Amino acid sequence: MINIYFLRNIFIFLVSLAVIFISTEYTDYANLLPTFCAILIIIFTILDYFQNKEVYKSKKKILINFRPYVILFISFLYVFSILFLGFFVSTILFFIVSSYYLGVKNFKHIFVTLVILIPFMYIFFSLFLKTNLPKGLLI
Amino acid sequence: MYIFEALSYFGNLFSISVLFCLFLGVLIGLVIGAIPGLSPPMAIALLIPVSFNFPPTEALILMVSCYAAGMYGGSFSAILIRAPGTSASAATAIEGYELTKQGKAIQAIRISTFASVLGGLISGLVLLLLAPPLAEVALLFGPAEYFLMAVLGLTAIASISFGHIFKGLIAGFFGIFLSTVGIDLYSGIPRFSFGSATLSSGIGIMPAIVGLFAFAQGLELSLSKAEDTIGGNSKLSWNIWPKFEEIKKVKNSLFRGWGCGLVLGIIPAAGGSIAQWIAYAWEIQKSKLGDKFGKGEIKGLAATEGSNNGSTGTSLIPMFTLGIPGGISAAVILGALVIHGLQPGLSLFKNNPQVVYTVMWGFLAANILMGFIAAIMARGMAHLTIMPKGLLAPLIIIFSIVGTYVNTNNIADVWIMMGFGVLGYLMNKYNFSTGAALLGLILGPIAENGLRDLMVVSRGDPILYTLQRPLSVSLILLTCIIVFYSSKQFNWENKNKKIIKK
Repeated sequence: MINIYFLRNIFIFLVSLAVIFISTEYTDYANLLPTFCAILIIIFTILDYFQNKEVYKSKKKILINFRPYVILFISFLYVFSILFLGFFVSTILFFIVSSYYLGVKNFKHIFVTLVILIPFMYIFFSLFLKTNLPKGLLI
Repeated sequence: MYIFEALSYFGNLFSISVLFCLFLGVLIGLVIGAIPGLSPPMAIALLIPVSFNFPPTEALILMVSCYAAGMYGGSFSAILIRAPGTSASAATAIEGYELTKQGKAIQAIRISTFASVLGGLISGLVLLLLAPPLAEVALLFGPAEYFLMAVLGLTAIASISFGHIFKGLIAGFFGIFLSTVGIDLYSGIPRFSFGSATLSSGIGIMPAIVGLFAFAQGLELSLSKAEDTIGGNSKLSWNIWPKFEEIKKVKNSLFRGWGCGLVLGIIPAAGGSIAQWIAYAWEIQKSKLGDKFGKGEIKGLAATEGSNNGSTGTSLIPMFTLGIPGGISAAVILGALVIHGLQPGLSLFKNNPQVVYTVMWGFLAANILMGFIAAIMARGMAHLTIMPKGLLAPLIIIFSIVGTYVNTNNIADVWIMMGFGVLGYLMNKYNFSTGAALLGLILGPIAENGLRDLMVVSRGDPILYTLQRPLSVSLILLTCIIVFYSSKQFNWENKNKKIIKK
């Protein structure tokens, strides 16, 4: 059975090969550094394999925790929603959804944090720094 | 004598407007520096319109104090939540955050404050007393020296890989590769941009730092239980003043850090971002039995913090004396200098000595004031370490996103930052050093531009050209010495393994 560490190194190896292949199109020494880096990465990936053979041959099952990936997905939705709903509305929604998902069931904590966070962000970013935070359809 | 002339302007500091600008600059610098994504150059640029309300001396004091405090402010978030506020505090996050996890946040902050304040003061004194003669050093650096300096910086990768040497090298060269993304300035060819206008302009350092450290930290915190805190159950100590034993323990590290900062600050384009890594790597190589580098070693923190603030004053030397900005912050201050009708260069010292020397005194005073304001701020900010991770993780993600957006007003940078965030999370998971990747990203352009300029100026014979320059030869020798020491099996990990075996 091929383990995740082995697959990871295969992935690095393939990306490096792709970099070398794409670099061949560049002229005037523009290919020099990317090709050099890709070759060295391939060499070091092989050396890492020989240094940690036991890890690569290990058949121990690795449990994947999906919570960071769910938070990442919510973050993607948050950035998209900033463009449609506006920064402040999206921030409130993101904070409530993500902290609730992470296990904060006490809404008083969420509410108090938002009461401090939103005015701070408005005063600091909008009034003081005069930044044009995306407004979207709402605020 | 310009030293006596410099001393004669000390009294100019004590006016209400100067003191007000000092306080304002330090406060803004500390707050902006502490927010991931918001950098000192941005803070200084935002202060330019404000500075029109003041005469040139006060306006420049406002900016240099913001610069000094901004460099230090970045270490707050780096230590407390592993989200460096500036590129010069990325190395601080490694040891600082580990100390915070052990409930030693206040200890980390007090050492960081001590190292930064004294580093800034020493750097400021060098700026005040030795600026004109030291300006000559900046002129000694040509393409060969820049290339060799980048190579010297890359040797730090071996030290910051913490036993995973090949993974560290993979990360470092991956960082260098990423620095090649965008239009090649020599040939005009867009590299690895795949038709994207955003990628054509290259990958910015700021989205990369925020992603690799802050956003990745947000994702990592989501693995913990919601009610857990970073500092565990430890109670917050309010003693912000360093103890004698602590200073005694880190004194050599501080001197090494300050030395790195002072020297690298003078060299244009080097500065605190590179100095911190070299100081940190040097510190690891100097490690003794029982040192816990990578697991919360106060010496590493002292060296990185000493080096980044140690570079602040000297990085202003080429800007004041030659009109060559040492970094982005110095470039913005240079712009402000010109806007206020002053001409940088040695003529500035002849025509407007009252302005230039008062600003230098202001820089020194800003470093002292920074220590006092930081002591007050630290008490409040340390509460982040007792905040439940379920609330802290979304907060870090929100500040990463808004900080990156505000920096360039470009949503594409937010996507790049998030990409780096995922990369940082996976790199941490599989023991690839994010610090090495960042170091590669910072040093990549210096190495590539230096090498290609070297090829041009040496007319195809770079080796002979390099060997004819004493400074280049010194840098080669220094690199060889570091590589030799790195290859010797005396790093902290091996030593500690021996202790465990015993």
